Amino acid sequence: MDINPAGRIMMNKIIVLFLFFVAVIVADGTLLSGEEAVQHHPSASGLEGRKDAQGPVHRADLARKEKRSFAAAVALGEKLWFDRTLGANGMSCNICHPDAAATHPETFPKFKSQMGAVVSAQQFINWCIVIPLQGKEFHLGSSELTALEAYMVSQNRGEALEPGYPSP
Amino acid sequence: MIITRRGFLQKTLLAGGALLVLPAIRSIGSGSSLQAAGPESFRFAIIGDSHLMGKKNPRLKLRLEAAIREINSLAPQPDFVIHLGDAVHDGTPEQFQYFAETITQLKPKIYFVPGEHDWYFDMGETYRSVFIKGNAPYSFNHKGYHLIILNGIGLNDYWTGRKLTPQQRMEIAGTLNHPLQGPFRLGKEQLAWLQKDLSGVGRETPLLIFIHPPLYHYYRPWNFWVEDAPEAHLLLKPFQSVSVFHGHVHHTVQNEIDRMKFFSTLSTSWPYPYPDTGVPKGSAKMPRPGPSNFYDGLGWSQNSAGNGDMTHQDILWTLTPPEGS
Repeated sequence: MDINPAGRIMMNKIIVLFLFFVAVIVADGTLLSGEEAVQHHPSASGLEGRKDAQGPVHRADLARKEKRSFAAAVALGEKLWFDRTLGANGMSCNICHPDAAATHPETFPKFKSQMGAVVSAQQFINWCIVIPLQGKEFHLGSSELTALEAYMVSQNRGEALEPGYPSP
Repeated sequence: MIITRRGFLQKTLLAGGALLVLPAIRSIGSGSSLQAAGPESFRFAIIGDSHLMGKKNPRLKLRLEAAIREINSLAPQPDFVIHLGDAVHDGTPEQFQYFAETITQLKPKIYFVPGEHDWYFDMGETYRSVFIKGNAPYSFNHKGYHLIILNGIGLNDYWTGRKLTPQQRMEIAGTLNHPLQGPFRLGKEQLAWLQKDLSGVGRETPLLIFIHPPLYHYYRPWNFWVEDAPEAHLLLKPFQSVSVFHGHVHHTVQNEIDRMKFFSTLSTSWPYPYPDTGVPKGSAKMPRPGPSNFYDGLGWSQNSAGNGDMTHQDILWTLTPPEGS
């Protein structure tokens, strides 16, 4: 091998840096922890035994970020779900749908006669905000609407998907 | 003398828009002496859970007014109307004023039952003085029947230690799935009152009990529940016929425990879903309400008492919306 002294020094630095990062990750106790990787998804325990269950995720840092971000969205969604100022008439989502009952996110997208089209869960949450709550709709994909959807879906975890299932 | 016995849990769909007609009380035992002193027949209507929020939400007022119009147009007029509680949503003076202006349109005499939304802003002060005009529990006799209005919305004190404002206290009591709320209780004092009240009533006298939440264990996560209901059952079940009428659940549900019958009356505000644990055995479910139909899943009830017998009839607006809607 023909590496000049400067190159060798560079290589040593790279190796040291690499070892440093490995040490940090190991010290964090996550890279080698299968538990963290498998349970990154809040519903992982509910998926065990399902033959199509998602396999473990090996990027623990991403898994942690995903878990935290989802929990934050659900928490914001829960706050908005109980918020009686989301609309203009003192109603909240929770007043008619305690614990997000009777929302059936597992049936979306589906045709809603109120809207005359096949719509997503977010579109119908907006309908509820505008009609029963007499509020202003959110942009589709806004953090608020996504958070409401995250709370609604997480409360209905375990329901089998029935897209298009008719409802009143 | 022959007294006909009605079929039990006979379900009839009436053209007039009733969902269910259930004989609530079994005919009392045969015997001319009983018949001679037997209770007279009469009708009464039940409304409840109007949850008025004041001027910011006139829809709730329009729905209560629809029930008032239907009751006012009954011929013959019912002897009285019971409001099962949750007249208003936040218990504020403004909302009570708004409710008073609305309910004054009702023609028959009205009796009020305390609901948690009427109570936990000012601890029942306005509701007692303006609407009950006294305190709850209370009881009275009507045409041979004994009627008892219970206070079913007692909660353990979660507010003093946390130094909550009246608004905060009300919001927790008024959020049926709030983790701080805890179960409703009649309490020892009220159970003692009930025992004393019943001690002066003959066992053949039919009892009509009115209470805001269901007087049994239905669904704890939403406080469709009275923790010490079994103690009340012990006091009530020696009586030949006991019918308990409740609101709070905003849907149709019936139950029977030791021959005591329990009936919900629909709300005029919004319907609640059925719990995922289901309904008591033998209870019928109403159709799933459509959120864009102004009166869906709402209504009131008509009740007929006579000869120790009683029928409860849910007026469900999903089937027959009020006129002018």
